[in-house]
Amino acid sequence: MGIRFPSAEWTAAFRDAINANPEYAKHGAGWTHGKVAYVVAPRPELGIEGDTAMVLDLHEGRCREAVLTDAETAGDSDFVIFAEYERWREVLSGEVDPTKAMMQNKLKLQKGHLPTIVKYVLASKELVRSACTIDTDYPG
Amino acid sequence: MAAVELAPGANDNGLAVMMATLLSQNLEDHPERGAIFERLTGRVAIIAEDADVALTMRFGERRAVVYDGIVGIPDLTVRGSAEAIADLSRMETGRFGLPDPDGEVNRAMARALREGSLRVYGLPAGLPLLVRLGALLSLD
Repeated sequence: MGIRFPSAEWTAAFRDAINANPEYAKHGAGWTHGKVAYVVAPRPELGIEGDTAMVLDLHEGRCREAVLTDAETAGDSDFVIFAEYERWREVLSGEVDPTKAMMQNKLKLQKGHLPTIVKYVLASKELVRSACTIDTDYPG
Repeated sequence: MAAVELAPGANDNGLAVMMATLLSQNLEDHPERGAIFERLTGRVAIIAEDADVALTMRFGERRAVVYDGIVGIPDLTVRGSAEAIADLSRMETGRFGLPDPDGEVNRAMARALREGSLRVYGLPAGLPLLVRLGALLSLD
């Protein structure tokens, strides 16, 4: 039985997976640009009530903290990326590349400096690869 | 102040939103590039084949309009994978503002050109347009 996504337990596992990924440590080493929030749109029929967000406190190739919160709190993050639940499932399971998902408007940068995100595109891919290592139970 | 705008209907095209945002944020971050932008004229089409998305950027009269899909007859067309397209803005700039042949991203792009996973149509006539666009999108 995997860890349900999204949940506080999954968010903690995501932090641990990021910190266990040497490629993220390499490509994210220069990241000093603040917190990144992944916001999941509500899907009450799957038990996702209201906007749910995972806020990652990323710094110099490590994830110092990862918390599950609501979209309003996540709005204080430096970068906010929003997507429907199904789109996150596709990206975080490795089915769809995150760059491609942004080009297809499946992931939307709601807040933050896009050139910085593009500059760290390899680090973003490693975040996704980290997520893929988690034994995840995606509802639905 | 440089004017970069999305044409009606381009808001749902993630690649168009990305390119328009990159252009305008880069011009804000690097005001010295305004001179290049103001002299730029022509149409550039970009097609991210694996993402099944395309855009056209029309430059002229000190502004840029980004359209969904191919609009008009492009002076320059760039076709490639989403990854190769994203790399366009990560190209390393060397002397005289030209691409640095030793740059890691540049070498990957040269390889993509050789292997055909990235194709540029409209050269050599469109070379100045390509070089100037590269300078505007560069994250260096």
